[in-house]
Amino acid sequence: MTATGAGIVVRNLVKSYGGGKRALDDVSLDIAPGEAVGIIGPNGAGKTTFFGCLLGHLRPQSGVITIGGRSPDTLLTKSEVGFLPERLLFDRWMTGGRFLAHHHALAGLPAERRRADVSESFAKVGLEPAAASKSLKAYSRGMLQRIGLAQALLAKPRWLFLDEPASGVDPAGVLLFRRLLAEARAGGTTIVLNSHQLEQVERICDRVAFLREGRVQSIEVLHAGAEARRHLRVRFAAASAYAPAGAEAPVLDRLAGVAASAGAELIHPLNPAREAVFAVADDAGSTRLLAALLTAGAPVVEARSEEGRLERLFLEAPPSGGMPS
Amino acid sequence: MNREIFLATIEQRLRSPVRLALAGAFVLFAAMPYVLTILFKTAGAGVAPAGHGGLLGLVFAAGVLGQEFSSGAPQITFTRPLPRWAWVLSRGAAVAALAAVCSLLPFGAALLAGNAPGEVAIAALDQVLAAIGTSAVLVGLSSLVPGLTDLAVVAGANIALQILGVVAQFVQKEETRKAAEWLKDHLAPWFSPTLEFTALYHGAGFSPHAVLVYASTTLFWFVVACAMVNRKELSYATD
Repeated sequence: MTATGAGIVVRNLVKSYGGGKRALDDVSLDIAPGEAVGIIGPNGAGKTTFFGCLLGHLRPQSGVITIGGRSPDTLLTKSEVGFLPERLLFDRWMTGGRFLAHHHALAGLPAERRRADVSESFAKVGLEPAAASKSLKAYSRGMLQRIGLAQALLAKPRWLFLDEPASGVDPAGVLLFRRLLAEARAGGTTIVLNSHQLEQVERICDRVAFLREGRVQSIEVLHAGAEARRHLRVRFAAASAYAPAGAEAPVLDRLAGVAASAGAELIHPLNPAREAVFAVADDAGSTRLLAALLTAGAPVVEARSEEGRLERLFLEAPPSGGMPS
Repeated sequence: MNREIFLATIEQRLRSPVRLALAGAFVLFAAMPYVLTILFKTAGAGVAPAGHGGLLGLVFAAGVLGQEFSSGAPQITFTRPLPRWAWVLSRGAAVAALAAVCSLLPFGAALLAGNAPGEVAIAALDQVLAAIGTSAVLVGLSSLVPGLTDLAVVAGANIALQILGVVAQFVQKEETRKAAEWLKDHLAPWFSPTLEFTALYHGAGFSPHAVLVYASTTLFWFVVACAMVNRKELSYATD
């Protein structure tokens, strides 16, 4: 994807720590305005260092970073940035409400809106109003993550940098986070997401940059539309007239035949959980396959699309050398 | 200067029970001669010599930047549209103001004990300047070392200066004595900048040099802090 000057542009970024070993080695990446890009890679790949450079917290030895055409260090850029760090190292002496009010003031937002904005932020991230008067020391990991996201979204940032945003959050929180990020994107926010939770990355991001040993090894387009070939995992009832126990071979032949008639392919036969995996051309192919299976009387209990491309990226990548990050 | 950082720093300092207890003890100790004079209705013995301004500077300014960096809190603060120098100056001004205001408290008791307002004001000014000067030293050192190490550095430096003073008093060899005295006289203002207005009030004469040393030392440490924080890279967790 081609980025314009108004996006995030990274060119030939090099960052070394003591000892001369490069944590980032000639990294280049363009992120278009409004895009969501995931940064993934094994431990020590340089992801957090990359974030540090993007936020102006670390100074690269060489290379150029511009955010909206400006340096990350400028106050104008900072006024448009939201950041949720991986380690929630907040001012723990503050209460939750004081913490958000503090960042509201630092962000330069109008004082007359402070109380209302803080209350709204608490509700938005699913924190009880009582949490506002509770010390951050007493917050659980999940609560800290929620208030961290609230402060990141407080100033309605144009550029949102999230480092493991859903770490320690319960499933309901994960869904809420996903919805909030979708809302932010709908409002034009560009998201850069660093996460080991590959499913989250796949669900949120348009593209993903795979970092390994300080280099961008590959850039994958995740949401290429409904045309992408995908895998469909289908679970069948334990035993039925269609698939009686102990009669695996004829059933497999039948499933393969039905799949072929629907333009799909059986690629993994039934496992002990009575699941089979089919390759389908696209979303319409999934619908055709399921219709064909049901028409043929197959006792389909569950069907789900297997994303899994990022997992495969990880599995295909050789082990990391473990650089400082 | 940033008002929010200034106020938040004062609030943070006042929420520390250890700092409050120490500050209370120093204020109480400095006020004790006047409190006793008031309680027992004895004749006041004038304004007592005091050294609590510097101690209050130590109490409130210790770790003012170093502890923040050790805690990691600036990671988010520095993504806000706030120049780093403004963060440093706001935090420094907050602790200096807190120490200065607290150092004035015993002099309220001095006035109530019937001391001459002019003499009390001069003694109070001495302590306010000592509080601000010591805070500046701590702000500067705190930008160089992590956590509360700045306090250890100041304590170490002052102990070393005391030893130099003893050497200067008792050593037989003239050159060594002079060298020790010179070192002590020149190093002391770097770690305990203060101005002795009380001496001036009592006719010791005005010393522009002393004013210059105090002002330049205080300014020096603030400049050091701004420069160090401005070029500081924030450390991150390993990913």
